[in-house]
Amino acid sequence: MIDEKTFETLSRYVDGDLGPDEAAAIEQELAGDDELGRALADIRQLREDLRTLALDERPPEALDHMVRPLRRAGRPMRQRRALAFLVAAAAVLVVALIVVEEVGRSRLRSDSPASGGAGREAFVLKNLPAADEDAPIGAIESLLAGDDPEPVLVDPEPLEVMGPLDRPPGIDDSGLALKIGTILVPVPVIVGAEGLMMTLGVEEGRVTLCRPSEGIESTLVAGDVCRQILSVGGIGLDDGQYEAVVVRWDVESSPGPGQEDN
Amino acid sequence: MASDEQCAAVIPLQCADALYDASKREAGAGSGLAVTFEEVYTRFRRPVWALARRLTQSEDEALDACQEIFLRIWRGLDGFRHEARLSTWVFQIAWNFLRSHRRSRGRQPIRMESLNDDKVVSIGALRDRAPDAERRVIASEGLDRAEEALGRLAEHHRIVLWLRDGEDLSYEDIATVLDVPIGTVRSRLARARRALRDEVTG
Repeated sequence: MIDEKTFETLSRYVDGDLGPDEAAAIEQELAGDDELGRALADIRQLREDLRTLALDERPPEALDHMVRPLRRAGRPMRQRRALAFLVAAAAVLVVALIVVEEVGRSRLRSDSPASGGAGREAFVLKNLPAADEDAPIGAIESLLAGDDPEPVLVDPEPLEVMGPLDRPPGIDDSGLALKIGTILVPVPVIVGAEGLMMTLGVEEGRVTLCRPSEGIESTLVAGDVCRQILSVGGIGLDDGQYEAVVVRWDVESSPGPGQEDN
Repeated sequence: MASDEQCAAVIPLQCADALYDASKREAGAGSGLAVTFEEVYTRFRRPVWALARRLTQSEDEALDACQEIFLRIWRGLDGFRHEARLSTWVFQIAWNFLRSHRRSRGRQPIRMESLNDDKVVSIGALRDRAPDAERRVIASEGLDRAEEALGRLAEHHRIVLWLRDGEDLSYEDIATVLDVPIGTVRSRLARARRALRDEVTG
């Protein structure tokens, strides 16, 4: 029976962890002790077996599929900047809701027979503030949803969009919600509980593609969401990709033809 | 250091660190991490999966665990600094998650079927004499036996054995991953090897 101390020395000998004197001493013991020699051979054999097992390991394709959104998402935004951004985004949203309400009233007025005909609603993008380093950057000028509910895609440039991350009461932890105006739409996600990924295509300042990213099953009709995207702001550009992007709703009305006549 | 061709073939951990070191040099001292999540995932999907499989002993659980581990890696990549080796950092995240995951679930180690003692022979001695086909079968049986025996070990023995013998981490790196003194690694590894040998040879 090999004592514990000798076995540890043998174990370290296998790993080359002994000094020259210790190594010489254990080699001398090995030369005259068959039991020790067998233990050494077994340790080496098992080590080889474990190494073979490790290198033979093949992860399942399902893992690639599960991690794919992370691989496509680039790097996450830093918390400090994210927080600043979300605060800014929230402020924008509050303003937007007020403006939307005003726009709604304006549309009601312009749509009324007394207004002289159907008003045409126009949306103008306002850039997100970019002067402050911590403020969201990367807002794209004139990134504007068009009037066409089913735009034709002409080689659009994809953007990965994450967020906003509103989690309304009653929504299961596994799901998040996308806030559209005052409506919260539950959206299931497959990567943790960090965000919703959408793919946007942008061409000549217009959103020409909008759909949930590959691998994400959405219970909502993507078009219902996408038609209401008016602008996109982002945090940081990394090799031409957004680290994080949030959809915002920031509209102001411009007078339609009927209104211009007024 | 492993060559690019070797890295492409087997993706050992040394290649992952080589990749990281090269990227770090390229980016210059004091810069942030130069490797992307994609590169980290490509290099570490096998080692992380292999570790998760050994510790959870369930493919389904290992899959869920890997997803969470890579999510944590993705989140932490931006804050990673050069004080630690990339492989050590990745294994730390994996180990911390797998350990807490087991505790939260209160799992007991799975007992595998007991070995057939008749098959426990001196594999090394037989290997030299056997024809090729027979040699492969014997080798495969030897690997199965090692795998099953490893599964019967206590978790703290399994992890240290796997990191050292499976993934070839140094004593220093193992000490960092497990957050224990290097002397503990030496003694624990020796006990783990003895326990594994006892399991295999009966």
